Amino acid sequence: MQSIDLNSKLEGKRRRLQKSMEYACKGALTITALMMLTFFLVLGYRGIGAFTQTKIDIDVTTIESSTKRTINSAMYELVIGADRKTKKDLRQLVTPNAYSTIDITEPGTYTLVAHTDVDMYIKGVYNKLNNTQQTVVDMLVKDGKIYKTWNWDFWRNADSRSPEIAGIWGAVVGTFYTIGLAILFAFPIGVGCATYMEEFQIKRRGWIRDFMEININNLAAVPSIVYGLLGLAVLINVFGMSRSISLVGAITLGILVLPVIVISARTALRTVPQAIRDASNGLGASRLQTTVYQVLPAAMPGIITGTIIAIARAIGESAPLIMIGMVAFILVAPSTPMDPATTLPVQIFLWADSPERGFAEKTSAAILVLLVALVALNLLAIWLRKRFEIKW
Amino acid sequence: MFIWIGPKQKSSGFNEDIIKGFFRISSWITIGITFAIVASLSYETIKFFTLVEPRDFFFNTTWSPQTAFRADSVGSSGEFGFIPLIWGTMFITFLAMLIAGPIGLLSAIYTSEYLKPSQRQIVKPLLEVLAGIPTVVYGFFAAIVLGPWLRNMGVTLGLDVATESALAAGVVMGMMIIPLISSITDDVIKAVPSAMRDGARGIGATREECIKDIILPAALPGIVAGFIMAIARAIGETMIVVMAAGLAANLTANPLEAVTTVTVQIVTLLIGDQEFDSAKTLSAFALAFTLFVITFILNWIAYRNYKNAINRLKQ
Repeated sequence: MQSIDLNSKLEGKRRRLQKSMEYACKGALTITALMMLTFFLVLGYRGIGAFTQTKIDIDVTTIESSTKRTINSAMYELVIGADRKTKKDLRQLVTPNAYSTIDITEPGTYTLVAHTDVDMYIKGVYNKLNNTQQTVVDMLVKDGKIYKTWNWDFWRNADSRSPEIAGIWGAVVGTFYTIGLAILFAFPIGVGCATYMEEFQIKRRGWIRDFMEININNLAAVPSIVYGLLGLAVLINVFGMSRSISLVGAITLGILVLPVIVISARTALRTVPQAIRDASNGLGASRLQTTVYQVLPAAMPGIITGTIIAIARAIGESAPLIMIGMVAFILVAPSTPMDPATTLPVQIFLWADSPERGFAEKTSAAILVLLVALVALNLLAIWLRKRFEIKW
Repeated sequence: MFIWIGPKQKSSGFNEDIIKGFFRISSWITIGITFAIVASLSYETIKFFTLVEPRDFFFNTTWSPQTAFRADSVGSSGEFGFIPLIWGTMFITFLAMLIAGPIGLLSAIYTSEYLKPSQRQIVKPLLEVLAGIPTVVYGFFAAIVLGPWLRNMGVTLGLDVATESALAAGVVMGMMIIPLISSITDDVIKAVPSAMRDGARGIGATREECIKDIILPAALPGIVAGFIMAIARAIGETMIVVMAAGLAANLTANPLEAVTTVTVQIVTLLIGDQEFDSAKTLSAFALAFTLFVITFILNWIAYRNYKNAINRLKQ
């Protein structure tokens, strides 16, 4: 009989195998972490620039018939005796948007947003300026007339054709309308469905129950684009609602997150111990009273957590919204849910598709905003789960 | 909604019926949604099949849905061969699984078997957060960062890499799926009774032997179910491929070339204005219906296996 030495260490092949298994697993997790780290670093590196904006101070000495002329003549004065071509170069240093947004009535110093090419040159992304423009910009930088400031336009503007003034506010408002309405619609129905399935379907077996079970789990796994086609075929074609509006997006996303809410609400309801129901019933409460006064409040933390995760899911969804036409070019933030709108992920998609290079930075920045919002929501859900979790 | 029910309320009566009715109607709404999906998709699909032979759709190998302006010009009817699209979809899914399968599985083994509970409590939520990253973000990464990067790599190595290569889309889709696979696998492994683990370790098995010979075989049905769910997810994934995969339908097995997928074509066909009587628009619904059926079958298999596996382990 072989004796076992309890102090002996593993040796040879077994030891090597054990070690290699551990290293392989650790390596896999490290690769995941590294991939994600690269992912965030690249996005952060590319997007951070969009949070600052390049401004130009111009000295207006003569007031012309229109703001455009006034700004242009102020720009021409930067180079003494500018010829036609130089004048054109100088004109192109400020955003064309300034002509319509700024009102110049008397001489003085005005601050304008620089053109995207200047912006990108100052930030060192790329250089599309010609020699004249570059000389002038360098001179102005030295004089402190061109400088970077915090980019408020990114937060308060809607989309624009000029990357230097394009912002996410329009998309953010659209997101609020769409997601808010979607949850308003999906939450009661989702909780109602879960309550019915868990509390009122007395028979624990049966084909209706099985069918509902399969149905819910299947709905949760249907590709999101199919919901977009559902919205297109039913809401827009059959009910004749207009394309691009938040309301259609809200109903589509509501349908999309409904199964998520139902599944999490059912899980939450199932964790409420049977003793609570029995006690309530024993005191003479009806099934509905038991459900409404005892079971639902006890399950509410879990339901809310699940709903927050559903909100996060809905916020990130873009494919179904593209299907129902929420890819419109939105210049002004929508004021009602019946206005054409877009949401943040769709805005990201639109900017990512744009050939204008100035939008690349905006895209990364919008992604950062979206990710921060989603991470915050997820952390809120985790915190709620920890804080209000009832250990029965 | 519940304000007008109080302890003084009669327990049975009008109000109870209304609220119970609301619960019941909500649960039927979810079934109604499935019916609405099936009905609307199949209605448009049947309309499509009156214009295009089903045989052409399922077995033709050419996909060029553009209809010409003049009826008598060449190729005026367009060709609606489904094969190259499903091939592209499968190919990108395969590449994604090639990356996500091993990495996801091994990370799940690590989080469930090697990490201390305190470390697990940090890593698990992080993976959950990763699973919540919107796909448009991954799409942007694939299209703007990885695609051009791979092409530059190809240029240095003397390879001809398309900007919208299947590889870029596949790799990024793999990244997206890793948290999904590792989270499901982790749950399944955690469901393996610790008695099995303790028994194996008790008779002197090393950790590796315990995992390889005891835990993985026990968890295998559940893991397979998780993989099938991941495949279904990858097949239905839209934004990554819309942004990073190509538009031209190629039947190629070269990951450096561009392929197109079912979802890309649905989006391309339906973006912008459509008339609802042309074969071009209707073909998007036929594609979506096919996609729906495929993912439905995959999910159904996966869900049944998963449930059986978990139930068997818990016994």
